[in-house]
This record gives sequence, structure tokens and C-alpha cells, in this order.
Amino acid sequence: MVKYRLEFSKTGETKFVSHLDLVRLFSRVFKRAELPLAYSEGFNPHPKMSIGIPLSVGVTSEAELLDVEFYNEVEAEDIKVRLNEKMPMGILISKVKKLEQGDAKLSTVSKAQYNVKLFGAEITEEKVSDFMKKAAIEIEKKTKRSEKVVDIKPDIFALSYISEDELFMELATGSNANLKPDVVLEAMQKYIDGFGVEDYALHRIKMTDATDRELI
Amino acid sequence: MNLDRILKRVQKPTRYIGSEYNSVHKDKNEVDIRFAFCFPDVYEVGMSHLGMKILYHLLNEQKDICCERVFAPWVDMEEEMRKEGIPLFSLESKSPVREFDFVGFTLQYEMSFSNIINMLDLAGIPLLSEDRGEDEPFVCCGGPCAYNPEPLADFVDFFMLGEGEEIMLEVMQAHREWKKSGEPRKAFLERILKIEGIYVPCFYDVSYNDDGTIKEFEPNHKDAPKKIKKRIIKDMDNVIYPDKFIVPFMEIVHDRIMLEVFRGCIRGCRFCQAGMIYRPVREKTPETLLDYAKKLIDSTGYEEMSISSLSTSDYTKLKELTDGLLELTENKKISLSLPSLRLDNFSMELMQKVQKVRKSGLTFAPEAGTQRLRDVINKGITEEDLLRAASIAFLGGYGGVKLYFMMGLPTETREDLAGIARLSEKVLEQYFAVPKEQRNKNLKITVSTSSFVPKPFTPFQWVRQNGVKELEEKQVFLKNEIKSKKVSYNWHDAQLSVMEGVFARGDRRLSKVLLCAQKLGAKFDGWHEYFDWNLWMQAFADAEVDPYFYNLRDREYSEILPWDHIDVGVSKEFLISENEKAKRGEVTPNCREKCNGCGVIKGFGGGLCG
Ligand code: SF4
Repeated sequence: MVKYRLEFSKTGETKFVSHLDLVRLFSRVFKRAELPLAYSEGFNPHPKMSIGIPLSVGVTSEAELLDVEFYNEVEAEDIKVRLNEKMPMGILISKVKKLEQGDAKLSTVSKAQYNVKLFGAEITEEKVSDFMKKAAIEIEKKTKRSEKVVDIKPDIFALSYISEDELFMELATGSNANLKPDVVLEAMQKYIDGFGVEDYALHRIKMTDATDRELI
Repeated sequence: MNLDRILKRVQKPTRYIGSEYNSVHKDKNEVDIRFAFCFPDVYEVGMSHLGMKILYHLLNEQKDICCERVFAPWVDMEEEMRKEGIPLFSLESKSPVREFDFVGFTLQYEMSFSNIINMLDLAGIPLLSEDRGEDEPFVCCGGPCAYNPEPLADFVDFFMLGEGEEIMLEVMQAHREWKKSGEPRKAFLERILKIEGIYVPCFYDVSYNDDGTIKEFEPNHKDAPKKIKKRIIKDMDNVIYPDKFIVPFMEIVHDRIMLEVFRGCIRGCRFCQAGMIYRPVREKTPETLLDYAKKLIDSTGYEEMSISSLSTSDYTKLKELTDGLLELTENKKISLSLPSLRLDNFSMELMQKVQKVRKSGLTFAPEAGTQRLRDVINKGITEEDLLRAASIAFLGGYGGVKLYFMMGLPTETREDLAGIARLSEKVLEQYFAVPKEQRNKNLKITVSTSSFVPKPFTPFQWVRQNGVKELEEKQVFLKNEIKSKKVSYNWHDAQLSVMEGVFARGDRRLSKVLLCAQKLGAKFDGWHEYFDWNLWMQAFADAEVDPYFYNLRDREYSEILPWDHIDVGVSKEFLISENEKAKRGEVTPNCREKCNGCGVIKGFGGGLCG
């Protein structure tokens, strides 16, 4: 068995493809590309593959990560070319890396960076920095049974102004803490006077571990 | 278009995005003909349809033609589209459907008619054929329900009858020539009258008797044929078949490779429209099929393959085919399924092939509860066949068995209904006859009944359908007859079947009902949760049409039927003799045992019924 890590982008209409559908899509692409995808043993064998941190439906990305196991070794560049030939429009492999013993696991991902484009809203640098100076940023979190107030401030590593309709965010991501950019926007609308957004476009730029190291 | 914003709000947005692998995208400025292929149901249903895959491929193979797909937007999406003023659009280029040269609907079931009208409305295309202007698209239809096109006669410019692979291209050729000629819209419809299998409703007049039956159905144009003959493909090995299937992002109903092994059916069950209208049987050779299988495996990456036809186990080279397919699929982790198995030639060997890769539940369709009634409908299988098959299944480790029956069949009595319960109990006994260690622990027998709907071009096209009350009483009766807790019973909505029955044998006057129903908001009537009986009753009242005229009466053989101008090959004499035999409980042998002279050979030239 040989393990590989792939980085891919998911743009255009494919941003509407759900995580589950993406898993199925990849298992078919590996088949079309005739790559030696490994399967689990047992009655209902499934491909040995995992897509790191699920991306919300509607969000585009240039930095998704996928780990996969092959029965035998294939040249990394070859994998990339063969997959891209058989990929639907909108999804593109950008990097392929053979995983060695000791390489960080996908589960170490703990930060993600986003570009946020705002439609029908205007923001100023000052308002953004005022927002970030708040001691706590509280939102109501609804679970199935209850509603509770949580402070999301510790999960915002960065929030900065790019232009009057564009922001940059770095947020906690992964199994320990997970904050979605839309939640931050919601909080901003609550805390910043006169700030309301009609619509927005979210784009994931990068994922790193706690020490800002990329995983590929 | 605010599509992006809307897609964030609706359920299952991948229904509407259309950039799936193997979808075809052409520049509209580089083609001469644009064809919008419309399926009047939601994406995951329409995308499962083999006919659409074939014709999409066929049309897009033509350099100067671009075929794009259109599905009925789900209710939430339609609401958003109407709110934002977004007209019905094609998936590939997101073009308004109204811009296309052709808007073609495939008619798979009667209850999708309301969606057709609603889609035209959403597209901003005038609903009535006579109201369409020079620049509007031509609205056309094909598919099994086109064999009785009359309920849609007012909406549709022309129908294509029979198998589409050849006729479609002839129509496209006629369009090229017509476009060059610069003639008006009507001239195109006149041109295609010369193509066999084309029915243009506006070139026919109907008059009625005082009792509501048809008095006369006559062409009003010199080129319109009195009888329109369906088209069939004679050489199944050389007819086009897609070597690529679109691979959807979302899971669709039949999410797999489908291989069409043959058309037609040798059986001649008397209730079955497909068994009559698709005659004669024409098989593809295993070589052809294996070649397609290989190409489709490579081009799709699908993990499942099924072979598709009516009564699949009647394929003469089934063993050769399944052996060949298993060789292709086994080491690629592709599972193979044979959906349509007949009870009388169900064998251990066949079952093992199906389950080699995956073990799913088995489905059998005895259709009726007693031998007498099975003889009436010419379902040539016996109780022994069923019990033997069930026993093989249980011995082979299956625990789930589904049994399909029909309710409301001609001559049916309480005894026949009770027979369904008795039969399911006997199947249960087969399970308990298997040694405990050997049998599957998860025993589940499901009895499912649908309500019989008399269809055109079947021996039962003259018979009265059961009413809603009758059917519901029968359902309760059977429910009480089934005593075992191991047998669960479910049934189809009787109201839906009755409404289907009205449209199946309807005439042109139903166009007005459809128009009224659309105004009242009818859509997705094939979906239990959206079918609204009261709405339809209102529509019939508004249109001043009596629905029961169409299904709650026996028709005379002498009555002119609304579909009499269509020739499917099978003769009326044959259908009459079959109906008479049904009354006497006489069976008719299948076409391989003996030719019964149904007329299809005469119509389409010999040598076809091998
Ligand atoms: S012509 Fe004879 S063999 Fe052919 S379909 Fe009709 S009955 Fe069957």
C-alpha cells in the first residue's frame, strides 16, 4: 500500500457539491483514471480515501485535502495528470504528494483561511478593527435541544479588511474547534451598527496546522 | 440571473448545475439547431431514464445540433424562480428554454402531464399550440404515453411515435431544410407529415356523438396520414448507443451503468402496455453489449451495472452475457444487478450471479393471487414457480422478499384477493422450511399492491376500471386477510391510480382539464405528497368534463377509441381475441413457443420475430 495526499480546488458550480457527493465523485474519478485505488476488506468494500475537512456547500476552495491509498506506487505527477483528465469541470488537482511515515495527519488541520466577498454591503477598516477589539463576541448557537450563547472570539485568529467589500479571515477549523465564516459574518452584523449583507461569496484559501504549517 | 443566490437556498442544488462529467457543452453560436430535452420530473428521476441518455447522445453526435437537458424544478426551486422572474432554463448553458428551436418532452407516465404544462408556463412559452408565434420553439413529445397523445393534443405541436433514434434525425433534417427555405412556421409541420411516425394534432379534426363517444376522427390536411405508424429500429446491433453516460453529482434513482439488452417482450401479459407497444422482440448480441459495457465502465467509473429490458431473464444468451459481464466487473469492484427476473426460470445459478458482489433483496411479481386470475391476465406462472423461487432465495441466504400484485383486475373476486394473503403465507412456510442455521435472520416479506389501470393498446383497453371506493375497500379487505406479523403490506394510492386511468384513455377534451389544473397549481402529481384529488375534481368541474366517462364504463368493440389513429403494429382483432380469451380464462403461449399472429410481423416486415 502506498499513501498519497492530494490538494485540489473546488470552484464554480461545483461549490454546490456536498461532502458526501464529493467522496463518491472521487471514487469514480480514480476508477476512470485507472489508478490502483485500494479498497477495504469485507462484504461491502469501500475505497480507502478520506477528504480532510468538509467544506460547506456553497463555499469555493483552492486548498482542499484528500488522502488516498493505492495498491501500488504511481508517479505523483502522473496521478495529477490522469485525474485532471477525468475530472468534471470545476475540480482540479493542484498538488500530489507521496506520504511518508511521520507525515502529519489530516486531523492536525486546525486553521483555515478565507477570502470573503460581500454583496450589498460596505465595511470600513475601522469597523473591522473595532469589532476585533471586543472582549467577547457572543452568538447564539442552536443545537437540537437547546440554545446557548458561545463566545467565538477565541476561534477567530484573524479578521482583516481588504477593501470595502472584501475581508480576510483565519478561523479555527477541525475536530477541536470549528468556526464557519458565515457565522462570523452573522456576528459582525449583530455587533456592527448599520452593517448588513445581502449575499456573500466564501472562498477557502489555505488550511494549516496549529503552527501554521501547510500539510502538503 | 440570481441563480447563484437562489441555489444557496434550495434543497439539493446539484439538481440545477449541469456541469457533470460527460455532459456536453456546445457554443450556441456554432450550432444550427438547439434542442431542449425536457423530462417532466425532477432531476434524479429524469437522469435515471435510459431513453434520455440515448437521445442526448444521438443529438449531440450531430455537429450542427446542440441538445441540452431540462428537468422540472422541484417545488422550492420553482417558487424561487417565479419570485425572481427566472424562466425555465437548460442545465448546460442556463439558457431560457424559450430560446431553443425544439422543446421536446418525454412522456413516461400520465401523471407527469401537469408538469409539462407547468414547465411550459415557467418557460414563458404559450401553452396552447395554436397560440405560438413564428419565433416560438416547436413543442414535441415522444415516449410510451405518446401512444395515446390525445390529452396533450392542444399543447403539443407534434408527436414522434415509437423508437426515436431514426425519426429524430429525420425531423432534424426536415428542420434544416425548412430553415433554409424561409417558410413560415406552419410549413415545417406540413413538411414533417411525410415522415413516418409523426402525428401533428392540428391536422386532424374530431367530432363527437351525443353520448360523448367519438363520432369521427379525420385528417384535415391532404398530407396527414389516416393512420400513423410507430417507428421501430430493426437492427439493434447497429443502432447508436451512448458510450458515455453523464455521471451526476448527486445520487439519482438508477445511479449506474444500464445496458439495454433487448426491446419488446415475448410474454404478452394482458394488462401490460409495454409488452404490446414495444413488440416485436429484438435482441442485441452479447458481443455488442460487452463492447458497450467495457466502454461505459471506462468512461463513467460507476460502481454498479445493471442490464435493463422487460423480463430480462428471457434474453436468449443470458448466460453468455452475464459470464462476460462478470469477467469485466468482478476485479473492478463493480456490482452487477439483474432487475427483471421472471419466476419460472429463476435458478440458483442466476441468483448466485446476481449476489456474487452484493446481496440485496429479491422482488417477484406474481401479479395476481390465484391461478384463475393469473390465467385471465396471461401471467404464465404458477404457484409452484413462486414457491420454488422463494425457496431458492431463502436457501441462498436472502431474508427479504418483495411480492408485487395488482388489484382491481378484470373478473377479480374476493377469493382472488384472499389468494394474495394465502400465497404470502406459503412463501413464509418456505422460509421456515430452511434449516435454522442456514437461513437469514432478517426475515421480511413485503406484499405490495398497485391498482390496475387499463391502458390503450392492451387487450383490456375496453374494460371498466375500479373506482376509488372499490379499490380502497379491497385494500382494507386484503389488509385484514394478511394475518402474519412477518408479512407487511403496502399499497398504492387508489385516487392516483384512478386519475392515471382517466388520462391513460382520455381524449382531446382533457387538454382543457389540464389547463384548468395548471391554473389551480397542479404539479408533481406522480408524487404522492403533491397529488391533490380535490384539485383535480375542481379542474374537471371547471372544464365541464366528466372524468368517469373515461374509466368507469365498459367500452364496446365498435366504439372509436381516441388512439385508433395510431398503429403500434398489434392489430385490434388480436387485442379483441385476447380480451375474449381472458374472459374464458384461456392462456396464450409466449412468442417463442408459438406465434399468435398479433399483427406486428405483418406491419413491420418478416424476420423480426425470430
Ligand atoms: S408476430 Fe407473433 S411472435 Fe411476433 S410479437 Fe406478434 S405474436 Fe409474438
